Amino acid sequence: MKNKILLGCWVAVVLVVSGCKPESPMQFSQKPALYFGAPNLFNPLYVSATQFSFATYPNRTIDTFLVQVSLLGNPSPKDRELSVAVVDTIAANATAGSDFKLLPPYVLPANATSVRIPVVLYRTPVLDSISINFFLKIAANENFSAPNNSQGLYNVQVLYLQKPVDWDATSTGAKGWALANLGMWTKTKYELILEALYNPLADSSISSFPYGTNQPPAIYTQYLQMIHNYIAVTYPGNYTGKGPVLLDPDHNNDTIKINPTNY
Amino acid sequence: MIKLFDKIPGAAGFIAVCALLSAVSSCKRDLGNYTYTDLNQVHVVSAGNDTFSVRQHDTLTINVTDSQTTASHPLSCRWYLVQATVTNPNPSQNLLDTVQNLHVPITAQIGFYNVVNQVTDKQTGVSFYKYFYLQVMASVQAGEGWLVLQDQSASSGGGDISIILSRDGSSHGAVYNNLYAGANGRKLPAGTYGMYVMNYASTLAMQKLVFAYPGGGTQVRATDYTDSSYSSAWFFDNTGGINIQNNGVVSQGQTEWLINNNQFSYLKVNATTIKTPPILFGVPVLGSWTVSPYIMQYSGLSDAYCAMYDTVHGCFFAVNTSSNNAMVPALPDLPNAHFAPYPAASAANLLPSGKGFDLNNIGKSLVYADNMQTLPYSASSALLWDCFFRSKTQDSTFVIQFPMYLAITNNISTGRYYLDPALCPGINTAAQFAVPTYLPAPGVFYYTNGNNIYTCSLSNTQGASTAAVGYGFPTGTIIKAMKIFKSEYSSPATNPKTPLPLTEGKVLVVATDETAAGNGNNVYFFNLNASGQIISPYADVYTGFDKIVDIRFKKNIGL
Repeated sequence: MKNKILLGCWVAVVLVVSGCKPESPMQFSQKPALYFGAPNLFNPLYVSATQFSFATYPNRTIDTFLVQVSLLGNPSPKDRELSVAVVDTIAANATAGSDFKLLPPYVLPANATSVRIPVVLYRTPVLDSISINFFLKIAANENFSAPNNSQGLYNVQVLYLQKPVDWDATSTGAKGWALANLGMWTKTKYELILEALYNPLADSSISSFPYGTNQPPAIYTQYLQMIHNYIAVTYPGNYTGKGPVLLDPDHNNDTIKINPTNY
Repeated sequence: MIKLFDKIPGAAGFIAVCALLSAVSSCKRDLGNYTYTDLNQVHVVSAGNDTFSVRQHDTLTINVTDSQTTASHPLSCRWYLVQATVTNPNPSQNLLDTVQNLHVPITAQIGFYNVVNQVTDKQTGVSFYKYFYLQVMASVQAGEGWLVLQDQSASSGGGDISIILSRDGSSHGAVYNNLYAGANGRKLPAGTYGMYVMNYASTLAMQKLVFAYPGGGTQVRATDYTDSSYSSAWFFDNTGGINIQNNGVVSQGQTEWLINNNQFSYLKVNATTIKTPPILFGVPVLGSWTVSPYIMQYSGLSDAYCAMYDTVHGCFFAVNTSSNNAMVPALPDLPNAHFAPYPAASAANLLPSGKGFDLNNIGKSLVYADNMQTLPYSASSALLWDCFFRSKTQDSTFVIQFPMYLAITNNISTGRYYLDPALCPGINTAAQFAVPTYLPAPGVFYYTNGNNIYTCSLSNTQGASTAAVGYGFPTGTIIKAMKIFKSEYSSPATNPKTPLPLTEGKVLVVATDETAAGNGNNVYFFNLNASGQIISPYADVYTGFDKIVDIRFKKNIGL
């Protein structure tokens, strides 16, 4: 009996001692990877998807779009080159080199965990009628591996004279502010609006009129009056029948009127 | 369970005894023979009135006596300042003091409050409350009175203001001079020509005071006259330069308008917008028009409706600033066609002998407009504005009583009064106009020519309106400004705290330059009788001003 108790004690001691052995933490020993961290603003098929509209900058025919690339892994004390490639897909209708251009080599700076890499966008005549899409992916190189999921894909859509997604309806399905106040979207009317809301100090215009579940922003009333004033001053004939007139070839050659809107 | 009791025999017995005791005690009958002692009550009695008024930043003193009914328990005191209107927030100066007698400076903004004295019996912990009624008024020189804008360019290279602390001349108040320089250390810019006092909803306790001078404007705080903002910061979008021609808001309204470069801009001052300053003037409401600086605004909850006069095309038009500046009625913006055509069947009204007028075709210059009914207007009907028109060749003058309302129909058959210069001497070169608000239409109005004030009684017979000198100043006097006392206080029915003065609209205040006769620059108060005639002699006069540019009544803020 006594021996059994003693044996039990020894077993307990052995168990306790073995339980105290420190466990080495698991080391992350994989090659660092990169991913695109941009939110998806319009294309549910991609984690990262961004629209860029030249309509916001009506005077620009070329612009630089910055794509965020983030690090998955440890920072490094030295610069590391990274590789971004164009995805060859049927959904893409942009031509590298003429519609957009990558500017390699791209580098993740020393000690940085993210970098914004430039992609040059061109406002080509094709944008007057359709939007263009292209897709980027993280390409593996000697420094980084590519994620094997959609985090490594990025959809960029370039717009100019296309109807903004929130013109007719908001994201909640309510009638869009623009449809209610500016009327039916046409290309000529849209160009007029971009001119009317152009801010020369910022070199930008207002190209879309989104609003959420609340009331539209109060400033939209000012935009409405600005557009009205622009037409009244530049094309007074549209309202009074006297003076210069702007007709809309996209809508039966009607005169364009805003506030009140005629179509 | 059984086993447990077997092992611990005492436990079962103990529980049984407790249960028995509980049962017996609960069955005991309550005979109700308690001994009560009355609670010690504390009565707070003020040494004087229960109603106080204090000027902002002055000290409020309330002495009270605390008496106790049954004992002399130690007491603790707390004084609170709380809103008097349930919907208003409490002031930030909330806990005033914790002593028995109150003696603290009041920094709360101008308005009405309750002062609550909470007395707590420290022994019983019961609190007793005594309410006092407090009115916080503006400091003396920012109180109620007439502001006098003066040109001091001869002496100091700028302008400044004085205030006459009297609303209607019934009592002779003090005069405080050089208020702007006293607050800002410098004079108003040379050539300051405009002074505008705007009163929004009384619950906001806000008043706006603006000065206009060539190329700009300055807003000062209505409580101490220190600079508040400059015209460069007033606009959402201003690319046409600053040339302020008029600035106003209908009494207690929220739609404040500004006429700049013959363009109409507006902003909204209400309980919502004041939370996110600055409130900017919006994009000018442009159209086919060139706006005259006189705006015929509707009153009450619909002050968003503004009627204007197009000086180029000679026609009226109206917009609704609460509905994307939509035209009223909803017709295209075409000159001389903002209203449906005047009915052909009623064309006789438009003949010289008729009294109607075509809103689309007035064709003359609007030289002045003023309301002829008390503001704020509480009736649900058109608000009449006396609009003074003069032909472009300055050889004839009309009054048109414009009925401003939410819907305006162009078939007005009465309200046009031709002023025959043979019956209304000097009317075609009259310099100032003033319209009282206590007479039924057509009523009377006053105009100045040379050194005389004329009283003109409008006649329902076309061309029979006659005027006579109501008061003549010494020869050589130049009448610089003439205003009717329009207090902008609420009517008694809507706000019993601030009844409309008995003299509302019945006092004519006139600023003169009598330096040619060696009498300096003066401000006169005239009473008007029941039929609108000027009672002579004047009720009061204030002397010793510099060259007067304009006068404006400044009501008590928040009332």
